[in-house]
Amino acid sequence: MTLTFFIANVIPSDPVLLRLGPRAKPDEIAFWRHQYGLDLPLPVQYLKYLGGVVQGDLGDSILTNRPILVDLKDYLPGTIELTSVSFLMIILVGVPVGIYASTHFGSIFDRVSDFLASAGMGLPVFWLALIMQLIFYRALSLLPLDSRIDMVLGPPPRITGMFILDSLLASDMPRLLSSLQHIILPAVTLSLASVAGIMRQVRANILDTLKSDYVRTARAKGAPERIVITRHVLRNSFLPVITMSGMLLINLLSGAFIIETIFNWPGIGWYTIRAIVSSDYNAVVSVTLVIAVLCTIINLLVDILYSALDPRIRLT
Amino acid sequence: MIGNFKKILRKPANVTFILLGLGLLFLAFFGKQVAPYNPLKLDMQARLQAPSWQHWMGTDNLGRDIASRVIAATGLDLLSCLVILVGASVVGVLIGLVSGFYGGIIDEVMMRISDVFIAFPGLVLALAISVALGPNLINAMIALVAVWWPSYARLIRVQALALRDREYILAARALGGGSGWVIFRHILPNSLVPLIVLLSTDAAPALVTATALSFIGMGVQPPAAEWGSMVNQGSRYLLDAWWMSTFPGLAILATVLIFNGLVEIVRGQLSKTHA
Repeated sequence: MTLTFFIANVIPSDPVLLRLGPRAKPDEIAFWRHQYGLDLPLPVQYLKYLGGVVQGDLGDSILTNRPILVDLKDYLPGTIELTSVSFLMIILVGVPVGIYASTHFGSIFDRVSDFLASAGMGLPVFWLALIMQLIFYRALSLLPLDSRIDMVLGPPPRITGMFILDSLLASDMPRLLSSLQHIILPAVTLSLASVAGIMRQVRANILDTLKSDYVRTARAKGAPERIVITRHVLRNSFLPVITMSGMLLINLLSGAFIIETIFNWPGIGWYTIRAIVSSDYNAVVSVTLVIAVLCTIINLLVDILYSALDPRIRLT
Repeated sequence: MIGNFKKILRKPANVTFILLGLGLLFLAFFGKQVAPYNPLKLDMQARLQAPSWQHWMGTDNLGRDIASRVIAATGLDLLSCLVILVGASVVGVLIGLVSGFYGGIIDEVMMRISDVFIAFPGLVLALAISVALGPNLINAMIALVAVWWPSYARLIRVQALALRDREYILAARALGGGSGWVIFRHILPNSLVPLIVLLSTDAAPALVTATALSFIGMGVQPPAAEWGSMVNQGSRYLLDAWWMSTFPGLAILATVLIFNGLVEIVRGQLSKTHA
């Protein structure tokens, strides 16, 4: 947190100047700087900020003129929705493909998917997003260009802030369909880059487990292959996947920044990029803080899950 | 050694990648000479032209030939990637060596600091740092090195920790070798292989992240030709001039694929000698 604050305050550009425009008079500038506390010495600003954070006050956004906490509440669900859908897609595709590839080691399927995986891992997400827009919106007219929902329809009544969930809860079919339609492209693009990693990890883990002694024992005992796979191999290969899921979520968060900007998806990534462009330090600092907190929570959950699932770790 | 090389060249896939890699290097060094047009020259009469015989990749919104800009950008992007990798590995290795070898509180402090950096999503951190420092290439490089060094530090630290109590190290020190000498003469050479593996795995992500930063606007500033910022400029004209963003992006993708191919060759060699 200290890091983010100092980073933000080393920014040479002046947000107040940017907001008031180049014609601003010196006393106007001074007034607004005082309002935002920018004329106080740095350490004092830091202490004030700390005090504010503890009370839940992250300051006001210079751009939107609202408390940042309110801004974040507005935009966070968008990112959560996008990230969750992507995460599901990655797991639902990556894991089965990984399992199949490893159990059919050396087959055409295995080799093709491995090749696609290494290509996929290097894809620049921002470029892929634009290409997807070109193909599915411009050329094929299959999917909408951007935003979370059809503008004519408007968002569903807000319960969680996640349009798909809210439309479901309100049994609002047109909005549900529209949200689903709008999320496909961003989510798929976000997933494509990471699905390769998961697939490879699953495959590598299973291949490793297949070599181990207890699998050999099980086979020697005459257990049918299906039982060997499901009871022994799968259960034991899954621990590293959990750790990878944690990293995956974190990577999805950073990918979301770019995807949200390109697809005009109002989430915190979109909010941050806009804040950066307008030198809205408070907002940038706050978002970085929120993300840091989220990452810490994710890592903690992964640790807990890991120790819960692996009895060996519990004993140490 | 030469025998190995010949074996590498026997596989057509390897030959292809080596040739492509050399081609990339050629473009990096001689791009400006080879490019058909001046990458910076504006030509408002020729704005937004689709790919044609005169302009293989079309022109952008200011009439500049995109093919020339893509070629010219090769050098800049490859150089950025190199700078990031060299910077991160130098910083990381130094910190890792000191941390692992001396241990104690230096180790604790360094590892806590690197924990902070690792927990954070790379792009976001690099973004935050380059926003603070100002949007230009050098600051973007600094930001990316700051994001990348921890994995090198940790790698080398593990090596240093493992090796520092081995007999030959103790023997060397008993014979009077100072710490610095031991570090550089013994620990570093033995850590080289994992280091190279990490560097090769990082090359492609480093390139992509550097271009992503420029795409957001935090790295290379226009009018310099750089793949990421070209994709950004093209995004504003996406629906009407698809070529502006597509070709620079393809260049990034192609480079990544070439890197991957070369990495496979390197890893294949290393796993034979280091198995």
